[in-house]
Amino acid sequence: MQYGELTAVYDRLEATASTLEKTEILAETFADAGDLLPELSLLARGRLFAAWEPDELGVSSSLTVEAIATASGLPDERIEEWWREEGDLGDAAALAVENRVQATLVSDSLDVREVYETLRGLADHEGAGSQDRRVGEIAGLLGDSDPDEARYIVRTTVGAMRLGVGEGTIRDALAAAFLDGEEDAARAVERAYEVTNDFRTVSETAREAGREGLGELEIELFRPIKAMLARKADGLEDALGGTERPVVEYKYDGMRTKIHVREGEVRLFTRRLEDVTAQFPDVVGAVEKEVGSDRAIIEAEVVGYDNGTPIPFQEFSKRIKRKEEITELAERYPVTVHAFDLLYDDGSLLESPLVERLDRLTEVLEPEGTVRRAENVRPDSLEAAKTFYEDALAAGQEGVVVKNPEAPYRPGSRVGYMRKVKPTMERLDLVVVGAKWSEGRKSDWLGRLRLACFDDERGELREVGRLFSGLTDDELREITAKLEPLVESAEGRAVTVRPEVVIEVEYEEIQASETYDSGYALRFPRFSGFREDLGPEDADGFERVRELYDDQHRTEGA
Amino acid sequence: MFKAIVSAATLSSTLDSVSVLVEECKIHLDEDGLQIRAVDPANVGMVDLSLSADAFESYEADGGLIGIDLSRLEDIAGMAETGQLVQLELDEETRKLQIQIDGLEYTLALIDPDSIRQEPDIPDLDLPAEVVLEGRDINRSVTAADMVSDHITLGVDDGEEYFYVDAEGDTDDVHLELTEEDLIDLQTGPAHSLFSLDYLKDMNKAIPTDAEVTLELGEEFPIKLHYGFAEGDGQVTYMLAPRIQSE
Repeated sequence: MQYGELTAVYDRLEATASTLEKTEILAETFADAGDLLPELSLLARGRLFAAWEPDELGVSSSLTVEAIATASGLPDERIEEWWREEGDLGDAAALAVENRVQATLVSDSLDVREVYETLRGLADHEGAGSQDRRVGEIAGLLGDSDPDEARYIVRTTVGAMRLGVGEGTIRDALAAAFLDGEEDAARAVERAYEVTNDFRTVSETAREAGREGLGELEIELFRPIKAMLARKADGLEDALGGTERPVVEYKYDGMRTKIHVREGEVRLFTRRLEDVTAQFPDVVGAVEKEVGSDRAIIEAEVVGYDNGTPIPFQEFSKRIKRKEEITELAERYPVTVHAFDLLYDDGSLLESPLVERLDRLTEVLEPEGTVRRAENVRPDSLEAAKTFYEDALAAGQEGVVVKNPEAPYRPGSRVGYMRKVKPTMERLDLVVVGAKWSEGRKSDWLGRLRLACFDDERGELREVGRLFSGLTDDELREITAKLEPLVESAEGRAVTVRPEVVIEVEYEEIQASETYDSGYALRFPRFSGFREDLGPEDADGFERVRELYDDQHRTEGA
Repeated sequence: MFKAIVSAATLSSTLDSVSVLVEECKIHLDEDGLQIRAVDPANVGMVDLSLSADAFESYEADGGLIGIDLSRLEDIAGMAETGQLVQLELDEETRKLQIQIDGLEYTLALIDPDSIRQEPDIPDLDLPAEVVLEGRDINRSVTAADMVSDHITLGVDDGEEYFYVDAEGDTDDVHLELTEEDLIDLQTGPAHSLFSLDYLKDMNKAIPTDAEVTLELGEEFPIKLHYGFAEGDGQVTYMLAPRIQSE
């Protein structure tokens, strides 16, 4: 398949706002994909790696500008100017290729596999000269590109396709292409994706072995899977409602981790599927010593304690990014690993009811170990549950999680098998998509952050407000350091940034608003911390914002 | 198998002519000498090099192919003093190159040739004008042009029969004319093309000042630069694509 045929598909996807039409376009593309199906299942969203793969391209926007300049023979400044004007580096690349001033000696047409493999190969470059090599390889592709191909090569490189294609769209398109497209077909694809996090495997299996084959796909140790997400309940009574003898556990403000054990070897993955094994040798040591299973996946909250008091997650999460002083930090703040689920024990347990998983979890752990079960009860009355909830708060924890004892585990979903109860107005984790250079004394810093939530359905970010307050000088400095390298374009003092930084935000209430494209605005948003552990797609969703808004109104009406 | 002894100067010249365009290359170890062909990542500059077995003190090869990291091997060759000999031997088992320079042994890991960019097909160019001049004249032209601009025009005046170099800067210009008397040889034909100095500067670095260099030129066409080294036992051809002139 020529790359030009794929860019024609991208153009069609960009031209329609309808998710249904996007699904149809992709279903058709997948059905005709032949042996390129695995690659196309990733490239459809501009991805080069499956979600579980740890690789990163390591290509910044400024390196990409350099590559466009090399390929077109135009000066960097010209490309940056187009970038500012068009607001998209891919569009700037298309213009540069259209107006190129450097001829090439040989010109090949690009095929999809070549683009895919060349871009994937960028992640392998290491050490001295690796940046130049990345620039050279991208320039090589752009040298063979027509303007439209250049647009999408660059968008893929910088990780912003702007096509409104989410994981859900891929799922539905695969179901339509290879199964009959019915509701349970989409669910079969979804389940297969939940256990593999790899559309390459899922797409090929769907085509070659249908529903049955998808059903046989299973979790593999050392290949991370996503976390099941909890819904927010309106108080304890709401959370308990309707569930017979639920499992109630402390909700810890820690690092949610999946601990994989395979024949004595241990790996830790965050909810972003990042491997953080190296940063937590203390956890690894405890697991090696205590866990009584050779092949297991344990889910836990890892909490650091300062003389018995849990240290805030904002503090603790700094360890995730640390490369040095790990041992000192581990000694200063010893951790407890509060385990609350067992997803694998010599085989997948995802389909087993929670109570069974917990019984086996108890069996593989030591009661007073560093890795121990999260505090838990099966209350038979609201009173009992209340007492437990108050104990959790008194112990300095966040609240409780109420779980359906019969429910299976659904990675990556917020299906309502878990409901969390916390005393405060729920904070939102939002993505910073823009900012403004401050004035006066603070003019060296970026402030006035534009915040967005992630719309799963559309695979896009939607803005929900601007944050003016709650920032100390230190925080402004830190925010500036984080955002400045991500700046994509500037207009006067206002800048648009690549959506990578996630922050936790408090607010008074959510209002309906025409100002932002989400249709909602946060009233008095305040900064309450960085979420180093979250990526833009893990930020709170548009659905969540809408739910919170609806909840407010229900309460007001009552 | 591959086992050869070569002067450090010849080895360095060989590597330097290729490393101006690429960082890694494939080397064909043919029975009668070695061959390297490479194109830069942007497909703008190309090099085609051959070094005959006669350029070596001793040379044995049977048609193998190796991949090397040029700067690594250049660094090692740089350890030798002028006039010293370098012994190269391929260890087929480990796929490493054993290098000896007067008792110093260096084992260089090779790169899988499949992971190196495919070698280009040499474009078939029939260029109307040919200029033969000394390396030092190219050096002079490029150095002067670089003072005022990023680009350089190379051309031949068909009627007046001279080769010229133009560079136009924002404020300053450079112009140089070389007539038949200044040149070793000139075959006139319609020729006028603009080139990026970035590439020509790098190629110029590899060209010995006393080398006899043949330029082949056309109208808005790539340029070919050809010269010999290692007393004629080595041959290099560079090709460079022109810049597109609007209007």
